[in-house]
Amino acid sequence: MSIIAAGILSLITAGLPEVMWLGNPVGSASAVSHGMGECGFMEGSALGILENPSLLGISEHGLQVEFSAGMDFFVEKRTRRVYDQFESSIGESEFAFNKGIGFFPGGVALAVRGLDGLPESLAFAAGWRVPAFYGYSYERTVRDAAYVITGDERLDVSGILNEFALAVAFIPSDVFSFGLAGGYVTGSRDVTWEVTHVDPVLDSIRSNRSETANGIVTRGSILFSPDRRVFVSAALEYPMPLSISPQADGDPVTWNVLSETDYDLDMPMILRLGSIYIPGNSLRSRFTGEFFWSSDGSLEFEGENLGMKNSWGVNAGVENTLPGGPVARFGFGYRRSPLASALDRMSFTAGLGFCIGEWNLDLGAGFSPDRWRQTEISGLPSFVAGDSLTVEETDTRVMFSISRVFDL
Amino acid sequence: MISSLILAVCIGLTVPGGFDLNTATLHELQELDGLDSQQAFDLYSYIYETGGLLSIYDVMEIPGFGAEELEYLRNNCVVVPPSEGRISPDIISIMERLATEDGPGDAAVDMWENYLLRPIPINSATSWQLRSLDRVSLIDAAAVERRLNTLGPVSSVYSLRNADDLTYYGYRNLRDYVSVRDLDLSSMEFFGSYRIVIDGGDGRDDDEEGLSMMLSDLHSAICDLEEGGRGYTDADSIAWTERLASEHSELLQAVNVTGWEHRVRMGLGDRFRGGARLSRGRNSSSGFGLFSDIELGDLNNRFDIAKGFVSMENIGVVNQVVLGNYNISLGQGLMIDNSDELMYRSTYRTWGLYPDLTSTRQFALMGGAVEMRAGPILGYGFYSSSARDALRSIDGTPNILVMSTVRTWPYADVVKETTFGGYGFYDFGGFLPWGTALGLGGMRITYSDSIVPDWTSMDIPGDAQNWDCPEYDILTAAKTSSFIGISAQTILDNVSLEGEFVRQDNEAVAMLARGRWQNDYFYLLGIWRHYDLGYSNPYNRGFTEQLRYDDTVFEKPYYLNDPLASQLAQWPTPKPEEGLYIESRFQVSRSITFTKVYLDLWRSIPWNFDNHRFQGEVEYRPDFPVRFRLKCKYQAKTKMHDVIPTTSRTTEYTFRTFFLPSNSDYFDVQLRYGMVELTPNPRYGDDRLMTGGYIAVRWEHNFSQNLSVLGGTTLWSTNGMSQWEFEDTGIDFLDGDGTKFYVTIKNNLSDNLQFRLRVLRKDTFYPRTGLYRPDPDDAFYYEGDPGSPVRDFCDHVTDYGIRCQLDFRW
Repeated sequence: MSIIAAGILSLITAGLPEVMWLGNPVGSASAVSHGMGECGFMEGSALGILENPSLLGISEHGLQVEFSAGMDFFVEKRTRRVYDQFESSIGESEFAFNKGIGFFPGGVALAVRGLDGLPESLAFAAGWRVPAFYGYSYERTVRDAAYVITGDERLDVSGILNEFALAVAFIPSDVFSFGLAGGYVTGSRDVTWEVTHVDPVLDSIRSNRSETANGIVTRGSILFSPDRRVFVSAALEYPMPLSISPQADGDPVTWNVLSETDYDLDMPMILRLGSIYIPGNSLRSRFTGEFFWSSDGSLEFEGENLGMKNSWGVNAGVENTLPGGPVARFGFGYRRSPLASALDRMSFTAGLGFCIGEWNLDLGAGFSPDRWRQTEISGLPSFVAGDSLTVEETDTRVMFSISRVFDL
Repeated sequence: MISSLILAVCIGLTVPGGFDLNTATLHELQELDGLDSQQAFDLYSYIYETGGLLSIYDVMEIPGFGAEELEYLRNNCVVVPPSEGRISPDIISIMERLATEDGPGDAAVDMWENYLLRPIPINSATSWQLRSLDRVSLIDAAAVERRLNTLGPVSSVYSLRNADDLTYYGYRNLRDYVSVRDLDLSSMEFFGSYRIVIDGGDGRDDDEEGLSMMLSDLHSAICDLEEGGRGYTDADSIAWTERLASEHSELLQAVNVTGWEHRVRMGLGDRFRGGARLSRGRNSSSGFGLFSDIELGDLNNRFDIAKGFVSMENIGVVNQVVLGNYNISLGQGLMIDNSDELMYRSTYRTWGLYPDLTSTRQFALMGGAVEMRAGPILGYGFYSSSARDALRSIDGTPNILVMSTVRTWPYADVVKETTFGGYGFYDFGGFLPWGTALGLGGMRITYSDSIVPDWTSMDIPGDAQNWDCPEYDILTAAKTSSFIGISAQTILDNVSLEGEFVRQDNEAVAMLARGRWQNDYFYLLGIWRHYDLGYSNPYNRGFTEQLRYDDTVFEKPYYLNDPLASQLAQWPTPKPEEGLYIESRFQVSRSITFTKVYLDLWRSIPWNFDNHRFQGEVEYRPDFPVRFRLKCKYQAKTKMHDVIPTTSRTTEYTFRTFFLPSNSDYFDVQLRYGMVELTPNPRYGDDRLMTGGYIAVRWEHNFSQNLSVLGGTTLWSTNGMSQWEFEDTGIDFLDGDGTKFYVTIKNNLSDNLQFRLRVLRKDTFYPRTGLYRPDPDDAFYYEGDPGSPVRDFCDHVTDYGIRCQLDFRW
């Protein structure tokens, strides 16, 4: 199970959201940056500009449009450790195996620069992007000691968060540009837990919970180009608290007996730094590096600190134009978890870009493995009593985006 | 502009008139009548992104440019190709190769990289300097020194090619590190590099000495203790339980920890060097303090190794003085070599004094070291004061030094070690054959507390295993130990003779003699060594077949009070042994070469067992791009095993082929099969046969000089005989049955920036069958669910590795 999806359960179960609540982050909304280690902050495409509006300072003149979407392939294995009579571990036996494919939209955006009637030093962008989505399915066939099927457990989490954003940039020179952006975040999440038994004497359980969320996020950024081949940018993302409206129905299981009162959730402030380096070589390489810091450690819920740590991450990616061929990209990302070091995550990505006439078609793929033991992380829901399961998961994500620049 | 035109005309790539396209501004290009504004922008972008046009014809690569535009630009503009970078692609390629190496040559790799950027002035080089280079033999180094001293300076490095007794192999290996430049002591050229490595992923780390195995062993020991099955006194039982539980809890914090390395090196001309390293290994614990007695707050929790140095070179008689961390390796490595890895049968060792930014912790020397040269005398002096890990007895007394792969509080920084010593060599070159020298050295090691070996603190009192480990039992309680050594070397044409003799203050000795005869097509190497049982120098890295605690009780964590004491099996000093090793390479013809043939006959001194090992490898190269290699290995080795010795006979065959289907592709296929036969033993009952093998395929494709992708896959199957495979960046342990694949991308973005990314997935399968046990006391059980009966299952272990390395040079 995704730790993030697990966090959602935690939020609605114990009422103490000790884990992240924003679902599976899409990260970089464009397939270009997805293939470059998810360096979305320094991606100068229309969707990237929504996240870093100062990049309008290096965007192409004209009307730039971009659409992206993706597919998430999730594989999860839960295992139990087996010991021999000498208390030595002889391995891990599989307890549950889940996999699922989910499709999600990345967003659509347009950016305008050099529009007649507008000052040359002004540019703007607008669009819709998906900062996160919820998608998880857990299913296990329950057997007794004689290996006879006795029932079935199933958990489904689904939903999406949307952001409608506007960005504007002031570009006084080739060296500096300044950007501001604001977005309205809205979305919903649905959780269903179902337990069925073969024995008709035992009651089945079905419980649902739906939540809607609304909020505002603001961003300010600056782009500095000390050299024609080097670009450096810094940004601050400041979100307002997210307003959550829950609704529960079905059987009154432990995690779903909370009141249906609306509540607010703090969101972390994020500081981002990034750079682009264009060395000027025969491969027309482009190197991008990013760093972010998130103030998770200061977040509170109903006056109580959530007990998380400030987190940070780095991303790096390279783009090369292959001789006589397409554009090839690769990169990696690393993110420290605000919860536990066992949840720190690395990802590897690669991508390709093609020019079809005036249109650019880009593909990006990345995978990210993770492994932790249930006992290492507090606040996670347990699936079995005395849960000491090991969870191994691999999240593989493929994105495509299509973009074009129209002359104005 | 004029100079550009002159240059352009001189190199014949342009036509007269116009301006240089590579340096033109966008405005200048837009002024050209023959291009529309979009073409001007595209041309400007192309030049900007690619670094410049190499010839006017490159414009044809730009979409929208045709013969008409080419003709116009030919008649109106010129192209001055961009100048080459400071570091040639060849040098970058060597750096790439060096960057992948780790372990024994790690410190030297740093030095070699410095030499690549700032080569050794060959006309003032000595054989002492040259022998420190990668795979340059003493004969090769002396041949160059003799050439320079008898015929005078050379005007190009290529002139060395004809030096008497310098093999082509030796010449090829040294040519990149030397130049005919003069030493420029007034230069203040600032150069250096910064490297960041992130090494992560996820997995179980199930290798033989992996973290997962340690945790499992600790869990088993704790359960055993709780059941009172070890025969301890009540007090000892409580103490051991507390210690093991504390270790278990600490090691859990290291699971899936991502490794980080920051390393910076700098230099100023030919005089000054400096550098620093801050790192934490993958799956390693931290929080023990980067420096003794210095509180560094959160840094201590984030990193576990901090190193640094400053050094000065070429100050009168002082060749080099290093303050901070350094690596020193002299003679045959019997007295002093402080690398932390001892490779079996390694015949190449780094030599000399180097600043040290390697991952070595337990053997890191921290203090000062100096190398001086006065006439025929070359001298080294060193002093170090550094904390060392050690196993403790249950009462807290330091018991024996240990090299922890994962550190825990009970054993971290237990004693402070002060080491000092010196080694002087008298160079008879000129009077006697070049390369002839005699050396004399001494070293003293002092610990802050007496180290008191006590086997009762190692052995479980209530188990059925008899304690018998002569390598450990010979050790006596001591706070200091001293060593004195002599060494000698000479060259007779293309034959070298070398040797070292070291005596410890407990009268134990170590001796090694080696001779090498070589030419372009052949070499014969012989090494004889003898290490007394009582020779316990922690800095001994002499040639050996086995590590000191191989084939001892320390390989079996379940026989030890603390399973983590089994880390002593990795202690990197030679086993007490005596033996003769003979190795040869012989190129029979252009297509047939015996690439490496060796025979080692050695006696394990603790038990007087005679062992032997033979390996032969022949290569057939029917055509330049195709090579086939067949390797056969046979080994018979006896070890003490529960009163009765056990002999293992290992046979292994490897078939390998390399071929180059094109200039930019490289294929490598390897097939290996091996078997181990054990003689009868009461423990096993009858003869036991173990087998294992694998097939590995690698393919590297170079998209250009600056971008390559290497992919590899391996399938293996073992039945008791695990396998070791050399990957592109290290050695991998293969057990059970499984498959893996990896991809490495190497991208040299510019002279200054290199990016390397590696990703690996490894799947190992361990079928677990026959788990049904009717007796509940003998049954297998699930953690967290002990009531459920365990069914047969296949343990599927998936490991991922993602490693990113970024090098920035200036």
